[in-house]
Amino acid sequence: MTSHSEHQNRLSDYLDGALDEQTRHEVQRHIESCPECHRALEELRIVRDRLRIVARTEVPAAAELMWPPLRRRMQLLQARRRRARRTIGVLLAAGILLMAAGLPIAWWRGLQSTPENPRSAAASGLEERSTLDAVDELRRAVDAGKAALDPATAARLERSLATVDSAIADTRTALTNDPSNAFLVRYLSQLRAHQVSALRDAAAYVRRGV
Amino acid sequence: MAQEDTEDARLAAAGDMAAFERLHRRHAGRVQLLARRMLGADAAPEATQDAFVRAWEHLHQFHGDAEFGTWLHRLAVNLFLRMAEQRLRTERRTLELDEDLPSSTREPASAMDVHRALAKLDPSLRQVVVLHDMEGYSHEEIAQLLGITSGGSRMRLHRARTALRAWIAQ
Repeated sequence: MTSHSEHQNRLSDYLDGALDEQTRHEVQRHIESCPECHRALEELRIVRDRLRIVARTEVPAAAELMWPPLRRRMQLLQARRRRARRTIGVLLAAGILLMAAGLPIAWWRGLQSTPENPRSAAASGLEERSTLDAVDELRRAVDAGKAALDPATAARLERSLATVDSAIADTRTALTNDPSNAFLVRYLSQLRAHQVSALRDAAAYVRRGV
Repeated sequence: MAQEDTEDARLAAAGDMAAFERLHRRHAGRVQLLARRMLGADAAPEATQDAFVRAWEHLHQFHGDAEFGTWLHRLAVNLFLRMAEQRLRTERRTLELDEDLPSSTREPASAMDVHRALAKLDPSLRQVVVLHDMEGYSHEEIAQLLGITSGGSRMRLHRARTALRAWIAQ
């Protein structure tokens, strides 16, 4: 036997016509014999109907009044994002430059401490074709997207990449003169790895359509 | 309007602010009312802005499968539910339909009275009664939005209406 409180908990579903036929009949019979539930049902109906009336008739604020502050906020957001993108560009360029500046120091330290390994000499002057292909491909991607960059950022990026190019060219020349220098072989490989990494970052940066 | 919306959404996604303003003009009212019902009058202006900023940032995800108004409304409901949840973490509201509400001898409930009563509801009940009785969502849709069962949604609706009864229905 269904209790009074169970019937009471079904009053909203009864009101919304959301009960199955049998349960609806049971609740209806209970309501007819229970003044408390009868009153509750009527009050629930008033609540629901008033909420619906308010929902239908309520007047919103004018969109024309809401737009100016929204537009200002969006313009501020856009300006902040443009500044952030420029900063990323500057940091990226600066990172490449620092990396290029740091490597000669490592090179100098290496020269001080690394003994030459004659077996590495055979490899000097040789570089993986796949690495050179990757460098070319990334370079093309950076060149293609550079036009969309802010000119000052593009110039900084170009200067930084040129510094790495120049370090690689110098190392290759040094290797031509001293093909058995193991450190130079290792250093060239490091430079190439840094170059690929820097170009990959730069390509991703210009691809984002800054 | 649906076609205009889809075209303006496409333009706005490409950065056309005038197109976004037209979308705003057509839909801001509904979003503002939704914010007012779900979060209260004080929070509504900023919440409405938040919804449009979010819509602007996610326009690329609107592909015209549904109407723009439906997409925006759903985005706003989700955002406002999260805001209500965050607010709940800092201020625990209880069901207090008490002495500061009008007595049974007052005038019939105006829109302002309804909002005052809604503001007194526990947020978990308020979201359900607003979405069901004012925004026309089904229990199944509410269940999906809130991560509850449709039975849970029915129960909350009944509790919300019962709480509001004490004042609105007098």
